[in-house]
Amino acid sequence: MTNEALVRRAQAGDIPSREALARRWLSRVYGAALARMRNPADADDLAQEALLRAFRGLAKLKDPARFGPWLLQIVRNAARDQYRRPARPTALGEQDGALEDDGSEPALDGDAVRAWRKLPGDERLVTWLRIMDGLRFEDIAELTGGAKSSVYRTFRKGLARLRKELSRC
Amino acid sequence: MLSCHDVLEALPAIETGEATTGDVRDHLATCRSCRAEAEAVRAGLDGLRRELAALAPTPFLEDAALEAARSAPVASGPQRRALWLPAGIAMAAAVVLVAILVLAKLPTDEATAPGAEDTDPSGPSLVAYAPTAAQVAKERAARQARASETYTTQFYRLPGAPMPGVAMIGQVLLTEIGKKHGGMLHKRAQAAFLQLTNNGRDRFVTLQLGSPGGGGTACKIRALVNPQYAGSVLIEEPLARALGLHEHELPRTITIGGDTSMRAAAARGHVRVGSFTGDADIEVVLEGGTMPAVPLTGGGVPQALRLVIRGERPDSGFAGNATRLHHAHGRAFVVADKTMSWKNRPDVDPEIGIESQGPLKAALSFHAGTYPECLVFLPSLDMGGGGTLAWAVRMERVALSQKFEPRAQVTIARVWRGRTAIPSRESVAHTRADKDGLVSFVHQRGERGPLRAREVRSDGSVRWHDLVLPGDSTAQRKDVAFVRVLPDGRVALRGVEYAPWTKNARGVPMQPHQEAETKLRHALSKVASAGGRDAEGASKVTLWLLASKTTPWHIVERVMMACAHPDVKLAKLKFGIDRSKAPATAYEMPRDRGLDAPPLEAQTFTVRLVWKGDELRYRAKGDIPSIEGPCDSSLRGFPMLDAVIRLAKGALAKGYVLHGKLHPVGGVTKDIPYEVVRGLIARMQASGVDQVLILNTPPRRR
Repeated sequence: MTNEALVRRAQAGDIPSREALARRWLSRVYGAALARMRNPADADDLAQEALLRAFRGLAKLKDPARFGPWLLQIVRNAARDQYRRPARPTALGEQDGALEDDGSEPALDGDAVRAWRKLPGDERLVTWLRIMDGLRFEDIAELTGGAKSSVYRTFRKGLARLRKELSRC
Repeated sequence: MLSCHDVLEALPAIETGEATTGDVRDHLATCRSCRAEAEAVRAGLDGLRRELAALAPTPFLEDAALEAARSAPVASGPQRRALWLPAGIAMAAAVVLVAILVLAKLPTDEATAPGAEDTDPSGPSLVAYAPTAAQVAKERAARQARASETYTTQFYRLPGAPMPGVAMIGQVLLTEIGKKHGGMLHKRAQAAFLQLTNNGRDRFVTLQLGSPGGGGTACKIRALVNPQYAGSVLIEEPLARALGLHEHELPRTITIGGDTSMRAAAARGHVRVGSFTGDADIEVVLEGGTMPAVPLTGGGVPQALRLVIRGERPDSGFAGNATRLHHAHGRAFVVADKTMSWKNRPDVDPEIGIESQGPLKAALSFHAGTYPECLVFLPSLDMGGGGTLAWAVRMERVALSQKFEPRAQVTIARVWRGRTAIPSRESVAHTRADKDGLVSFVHQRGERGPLRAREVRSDGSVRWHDLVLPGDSTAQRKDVAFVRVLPDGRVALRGVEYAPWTKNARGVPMQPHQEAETKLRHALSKVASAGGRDAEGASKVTLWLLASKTTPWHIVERVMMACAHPDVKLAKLKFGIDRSKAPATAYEMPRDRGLDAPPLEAQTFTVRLVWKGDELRYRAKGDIPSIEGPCDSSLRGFPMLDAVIRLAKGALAKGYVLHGKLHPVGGVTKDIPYEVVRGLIARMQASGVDQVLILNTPPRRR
């Protein structure tokens, strides 16, 4: 079933369709979240929040064919909100800084993932969508709102950067 | 004719299958440098693809996504338009709606709980909400007053009279079967819990049912059993409906899962085993009351025992890994890969004694000898669970399901003096303390071989100590450390290099959880045998279990159980439950081993994480007034830890010693960085806790 049909049914309240949408788009949303947040834990939170927002606001989507770009925009918005949200003091004393997430890379990542994390956000997203989701460049272009040639250039630049990073390892 | 430059430009697209042109292939066939470049690109892509797979969405996230899809309100355009009603009708509808909401809100007690709404945004301190004597007395009086009432809500009706033929027991089991909806725990279950407590039926213990099969998360199943009516259970209404239960059946039912509770149920003879599929369909296979006579096969296996797996997780399969488990036609099939095939796991032996089995196998064995059909929780399948499942499948038994619940349970108890505690000089094999007194963790990756700690002596010689710690041996990675806060304020660390033992003393390969348990017992014995008292001959000990998301719950559970080792004095401080309230507990600690006095006071409460709009908040409820506050955004990803730390701070300030355990639940505790642990130690140290033992099992990446 096409995305558009699924979205229409989901908008009508069809739960299986909503679930199918969630399953279908989870990896992409997660990839977009990872591209924004780097840390998988934060990406989890962001993806969850984005999906929740998306399904809450699904009825507002006027063009079901644009579900993908709309969803990724929600991810971007949610990420922006997350960054904007000020960190509250923990009220646990002076050493609270020690508890903050320093954004460091998980120690168990492989070289390639570490290199991937160092890519700029758009390159991370494009490489994720291409490699993990197997999307075609033109599909990625549609999702991200760019031109196919631009997406391909980004992908190529990302790969080149990856290779450069990996060669240092 | 393409140039080398053109070909190199197109390589990524070719390698990802986006473009295939004959010209490029021809060029590659003839140009060695371009071919080498293409190989490099391909290798890079392969590596990236392989490693990125480790970052795939977690099963928790999948569940959360599906929950979001199911639970988010649907309001299409036409439906929204239909909401535009004439003002008068709208007003009347609003009044009715408000009335319904108010009524529906009453049983939960959440919004009206003290401090629920007016908390300080920066997060309340427990100190501010610590109960005064007057409050406690008031609470008790209120409970006593309510105790004689018959409680009825629109969801539940408690049993009104003992069921004939049901044996009386002196134990109450509190269980809650809850379901998380879009990140929020089901309020009805909470309401039931609170109401039961408020009705004077608060003589309970909480059975924490672990993930018996393998790694992953704790399964969420708790049952509430009235002490007067043995075997009765109160479960949330939707689940009861899903189970096909009617209210009048509830008193005859106890919902359990896992070996501990099964043993408890076995003594009672009333068992109901329920399970969830990935789609939250409920299967009830067994309802007890009397032990049915089951014809046995020659091997002692009930003939009627059969595998029942329904519902599907078509995308991810169990534990997010579709390659591991297939189920069809009412049968489950485990993919026979290297690690999952029971043939490759000689330790997965149906003839193995129940004492040496893991919880799941023990449970299965129990049911195999008891019931015609069984359905057992298997919260996740990793190595241990997979092996056990393979065994279960071979034995035609059942394993099923995966659920998550963000929840932590914290017990605060006053510590009475005179208890001995852990570490010793011997236990500090590898000590390193920063100049500021804080610990610096040794971060080592495990290799195959025995678990050892390296002691570097003053003369430069190195001595290795065999050590043991809980951990997931299958992940081949283990950063674990014993930490000790010395009486003079310094922190001692014993960093260990973790690596799995593969065989037990009899040369039989061990299951990961068996291995972890064995190692843990060994380690704790060593620690205890060295003795250790402070200058006053007494110690206060806090046992912290920092369990990550992927720490198998049964490992945590085994830690608890290992603390019951006769050589381990540490155990005595673990659960500060007032024995008058908890005559028997699931984790019954040995009371006769130096436990000559009960704790002076015990207060238990449960911390939950709930979503309030887009904000994650924690709530603590139990024997103390409710505490609620926002999870600290600076601890992003560790909200439960944040909540526990806040509570710890307040509790310690009040002179309590806090015993906490973080449940390894999906998406909540996640990776706990060492900075957090270090900060935690610093706080404990600053708060006067003189010794801290941290068992930290880092998460395993999928």
